[in-house]
Amino acid sequence: MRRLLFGERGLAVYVGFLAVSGVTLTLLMPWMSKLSDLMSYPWRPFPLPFFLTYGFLSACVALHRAAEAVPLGRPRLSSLAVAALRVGFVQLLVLPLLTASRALFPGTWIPIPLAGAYVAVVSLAAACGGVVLEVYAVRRGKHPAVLRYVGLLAWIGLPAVFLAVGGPLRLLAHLSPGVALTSIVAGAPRLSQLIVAFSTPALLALGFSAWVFELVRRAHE
Amino acid sequence: MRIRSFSQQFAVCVGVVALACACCLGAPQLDVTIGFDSQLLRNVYAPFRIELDGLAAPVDGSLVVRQTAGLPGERRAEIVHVVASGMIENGITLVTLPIAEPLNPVIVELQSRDGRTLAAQEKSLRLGVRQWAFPVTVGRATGIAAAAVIDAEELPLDWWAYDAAREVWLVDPPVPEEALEALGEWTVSGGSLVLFTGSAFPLMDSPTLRRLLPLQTPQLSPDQRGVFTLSGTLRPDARVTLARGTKPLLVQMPLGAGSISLITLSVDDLADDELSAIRDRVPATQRPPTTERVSAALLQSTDVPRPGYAVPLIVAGITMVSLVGCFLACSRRRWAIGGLVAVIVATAVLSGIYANASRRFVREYSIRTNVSVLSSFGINTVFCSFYAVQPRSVSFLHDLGSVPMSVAALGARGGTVAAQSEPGKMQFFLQTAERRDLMFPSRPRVSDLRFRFDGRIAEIENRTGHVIDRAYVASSGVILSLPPIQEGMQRLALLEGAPTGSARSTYLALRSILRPIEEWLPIVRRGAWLVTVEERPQTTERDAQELEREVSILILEGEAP
Repeated sequence: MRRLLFGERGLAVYVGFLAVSGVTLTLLMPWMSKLSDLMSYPWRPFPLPFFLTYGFLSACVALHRAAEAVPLGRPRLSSLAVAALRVGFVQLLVLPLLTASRALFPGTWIPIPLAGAYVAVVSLAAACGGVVLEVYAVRRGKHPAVLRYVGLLAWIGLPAVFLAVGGPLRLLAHLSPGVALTSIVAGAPRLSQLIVAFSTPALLALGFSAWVFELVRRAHE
Repeated sequence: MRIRSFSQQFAVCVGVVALACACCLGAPQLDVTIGFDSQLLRNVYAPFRIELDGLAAPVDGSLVVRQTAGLPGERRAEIVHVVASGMIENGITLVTLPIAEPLNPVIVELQSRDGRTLAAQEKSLRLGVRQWAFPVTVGRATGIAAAAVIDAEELPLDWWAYDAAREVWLVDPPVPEEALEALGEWTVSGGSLVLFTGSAFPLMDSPTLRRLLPLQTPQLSPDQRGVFTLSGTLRPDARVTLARGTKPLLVQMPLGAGSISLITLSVDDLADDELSAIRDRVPATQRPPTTERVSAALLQSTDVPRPGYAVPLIVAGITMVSLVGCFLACSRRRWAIGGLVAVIVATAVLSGIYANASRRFVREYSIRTNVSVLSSFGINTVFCSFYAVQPRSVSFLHDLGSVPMSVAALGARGGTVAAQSEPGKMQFFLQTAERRDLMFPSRPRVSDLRFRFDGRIAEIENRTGHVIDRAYVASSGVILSLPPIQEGMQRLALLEGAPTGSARSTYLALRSILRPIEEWLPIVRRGAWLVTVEERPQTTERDAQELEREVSILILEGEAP
């Protein structure tokens, strides 16, 4: 069980993830105790940085942990299961911080589970992608870490270009996890935006999983 | 044939003109008068008289007054007041509204329920704008410089409608009882009322006027020239400030924060130099005391609900410690993972409960300070301060009969002044970090307290249904702190006192309340008064998005022992 959940250097990764997320949330907590302070230094509850940090770190941890589940670039079906288990474990670890972030949401609490679910799906896609990239990099003799993080940053950054485009194409900006998470936490997302946001990582996870299945099938043949 | 043709043409023309006239006569028309003799001030209340005529039948709709705040060329905002709604009939509507910016025209509309404009009148106020408060003469001009002259029937019935008046000179009787009542209330709020009596006294005498007079048992007596003079016993606070020979000519008496000036002769019996001397002695209206300071102080001292800074670190720390414990133990103990999950779930539940329990950030803060002065005439003023942390639409519910006025729009990003009001409700939008103050004058409610003080023993009858924790007796410049006033009748022997304005209290909150009502202390320097202060505990409304505090101050004049 310890090997499944932690693997090598897993404890340090999880502790680092928790520490950075906790410090981010602490920095976002309001410091003023009287309204006069709030009027002098207007501050509005802005939980977005915490969720962006948590989402980005969660995806990075998922990539890292998933890659470790594919030793020597030989994919196995169990690799996917281990990657999914570690993604779930990360989400479990951050659960107390998510509930504490309720203080930053005046009124509705709905964005919190929505954002948590979205980050979980993105992390799952990142984990499946991490397995595929690890296999691909080892077979091509390339450095896997560069591919992993460049791929993650490209997923976050490239669709955000559509924010500059007006009209219906702007919806495509929600392909980016950063834009989608911002929309979920800071705004009131429309159903179409939610569909685009959730379907992208779900389809990516399915696609990567199918690829891994295909690789395993070929390896057995 | 030609003549007949001409007759027909003439008849057709007459018919068309008659039809057009009939159409015009049948169309509803609005006639609007604003201010005193069309004179008014910026950012104060002004009386509106809206006369609707020409309606064939009552219509289901509303009477709407539209104003624009902001100078031409600057950022402007529309302020809409719905002054009447429901079945609207021909007649006169009297209403008192705040004037936003008199350089912009005021539009009065009769609208049907589906939003169609049935009649409208645009009124330019530019020619009547005054820079300073001005005297108002009721009846006829008396040579008072720059005075607005109105008839007694035009006197507003709301005391706050006299906001622009420096003094009100009642020259010619009779004056309607309701208008006298409003003038008495206005005087209590700081107004300066001048009464000409003499031979006109019998025409104006009424129970309400008697409450205003600085004379007890007034009686009219003629001199050898047949000039009638009003005389009588002076009330305790009244004094003669001008005399004709041995007879008092001008008797003045403070009433609340204002003053009454009684001229014992009619205006026709006064010489020019006497009128001039009276003009010099009549004090100008004081601005009504407000609770702006106490509202600002309470707003700023309001606690901001928030979780402790260390909560996320503690939560993350507990998770980390249990994670490390699980890492160390899970190779040997099977229950280690289960223990970790249990600790995390428990921590999540506890941190969620902690964050939910009044620790969530509030979007809108509001303070409502209510001051009621109840003496022979009473007034009630409410001052509300709103502050928004996030952009927010505010719906302010208030008593019927008055319209709140924006006192100031303050905020880091500048204020918005757009607002929409209808009877009993005002709606406006607050931007992030915007504060808005509203003032709301009204008539006082009848108090459930009775108070009597003979200089030693205070008799208080409390029928409010609850215990009043903070109460004082103010008498002859001394404020005495009272123990909690229980329900029912009580007799309290008061022996120790402290000078007015320096009353000491063991409560910080009491000191913070006493200091801001110093503005009201001129009222309580004369006679015996009961001052009660009740603060409703801080409450959060509507899923913790609004936090509201309310303080009610009652200043009740004692009955004669």
